[in-house]
Amino acid sequence: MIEVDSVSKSFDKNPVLKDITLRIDDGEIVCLLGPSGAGKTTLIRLITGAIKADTGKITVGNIVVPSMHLYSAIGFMPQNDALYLDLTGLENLMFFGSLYNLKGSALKNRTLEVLAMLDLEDDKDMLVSHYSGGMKKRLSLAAALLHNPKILLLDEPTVGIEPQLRRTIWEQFHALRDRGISMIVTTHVMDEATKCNRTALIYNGVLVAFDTTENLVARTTKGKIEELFFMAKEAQL
Amino acid sequence: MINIAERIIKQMIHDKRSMAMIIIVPLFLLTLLYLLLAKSNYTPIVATENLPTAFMTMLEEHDSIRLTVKDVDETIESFLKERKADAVISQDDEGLHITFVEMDNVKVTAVTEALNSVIANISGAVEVSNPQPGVSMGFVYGEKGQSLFDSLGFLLLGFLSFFLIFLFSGISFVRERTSDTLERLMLTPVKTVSVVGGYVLGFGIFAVIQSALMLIYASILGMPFVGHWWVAALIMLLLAALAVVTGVLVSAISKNEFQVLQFIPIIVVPQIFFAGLIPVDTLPFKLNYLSKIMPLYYGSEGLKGVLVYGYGFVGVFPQIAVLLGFIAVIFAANVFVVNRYRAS
Repeated sequence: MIEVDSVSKSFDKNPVLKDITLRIDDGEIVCLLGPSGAGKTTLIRLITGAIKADTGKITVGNIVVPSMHLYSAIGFMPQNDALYLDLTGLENLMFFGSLYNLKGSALKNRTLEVLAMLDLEDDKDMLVSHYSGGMKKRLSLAAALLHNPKILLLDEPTVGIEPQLRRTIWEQFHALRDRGISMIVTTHVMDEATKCNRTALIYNGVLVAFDTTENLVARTTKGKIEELFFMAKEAQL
Repeated sequence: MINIAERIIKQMIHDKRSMAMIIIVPLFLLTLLYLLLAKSNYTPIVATENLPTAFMTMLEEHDSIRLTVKDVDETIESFLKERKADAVISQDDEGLHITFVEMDNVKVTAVTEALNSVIANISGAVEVSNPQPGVSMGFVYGEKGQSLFDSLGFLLLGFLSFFLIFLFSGISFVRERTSDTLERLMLTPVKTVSVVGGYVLGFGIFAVIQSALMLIYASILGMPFVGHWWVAALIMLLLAALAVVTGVLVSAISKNEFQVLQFIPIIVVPQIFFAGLIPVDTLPFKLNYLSKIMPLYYGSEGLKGVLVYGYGFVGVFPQIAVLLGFIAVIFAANVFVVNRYRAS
């Protein structure tokens, strides 16, 4: 369970997030939907513990963020791939796995398992610099899944991935959710919101709506989530 | 820590050119400097004017110079400007004169040595007032015939150990930041001390290979090598470790690879000046104190102590202690800087 309680964050006195409050239950996928620059990535980085909130409090499973105890509970996939291009896919995963104190055959088996899950088995010995954009995305996702985290924070996980694979990745997400894992997925693709339990709309650092996707659609006149952003824009003017 | 060192080694192995850079380039530069600075066997051409025949005969017998006769019509200056000889020895009412084309250590040394030995042989037989009869020179360390390569080699060993590893660790760490792998790394349970320690260990392995090769090669090239090789290798390793932590610190305040390179003129070049290239104890304005804050000065003093003076571990312990101190301070600064990548 993730609780974000009245969190604000500024960079160089520019407010990026204003008084955000939301709660994500165990076994729930929440989509963070909003245009680029809305503050989605900042919210994710606050929950990972990479940066500290100016005001407000974040807890993950009753532990206050940031905490050394949370790093092994959270799996994080950053927006840019954050991989070592001069290592092979397998070497990348073995390295990240070792940072979570996985060792020997347990590390090797888990790495191969995750590679199979993301359909990268055949390319595991290729240098990542020769990977395609979609392959890098999948490897980055694999690195976030390695240590069986209870919480997954995924920043734009499906950008540049072909529709076929996108569907299998979402099936994986649903399978992980069914095992009790909570997930926050940022996206700016509206139709991905329909695959989440609930959607949080962020616009200009403000949480404009947080509800189930059906309820959000019901609030529009034409049945398109985009409309909520237009409404938010008008409200802020 | 081991896992980070292992990763750095794997990355380097995948990058063949970098491997070559760290292993072969030091040997290449040592060779190049050896060829440029080693004792030359060039024989200068010397013309004479108005010299007594006996004197000329004796000069002629000297095989470190080649004698020719100056064209009487020309002035000495224009004769030399046309490069008809490297030097002219002449005599007038005031005494003997040597005129050189330009200040060139190899030629000047060869000609004055020949002249001095002739003067010493015939002193009294010919009236000479200038130059003064040869003064014999002696050195406590090294010998008279030592080349610039022999006397500056230890500086090169220290500098190469520092500079190449500095370059690699700096670039490698700034890439870690720009590619966001550092943020990912810092959001795992890994300890910051292990991250910095892993960098030192990983590049340290290459430094071991590099310094061993350099020392073997330097002794093949005939560089003076009086002391224990392992003490020299230890100093080179400390310089490499210092280079890693300096590289990491510099890249922590750089936005990209180019900004790391911009630190070379600030951090590396002044250290070469003060590390033995210019004798610092004769500098004005107490500038010699600047050398006390330059790690490369201690490294190069230590290497000189071992290789030229033959000091053992105890003899260079002060330099080793200072280097360890530098490493400890910059290592702590690294941990502080890298820790900013996680809020906890």
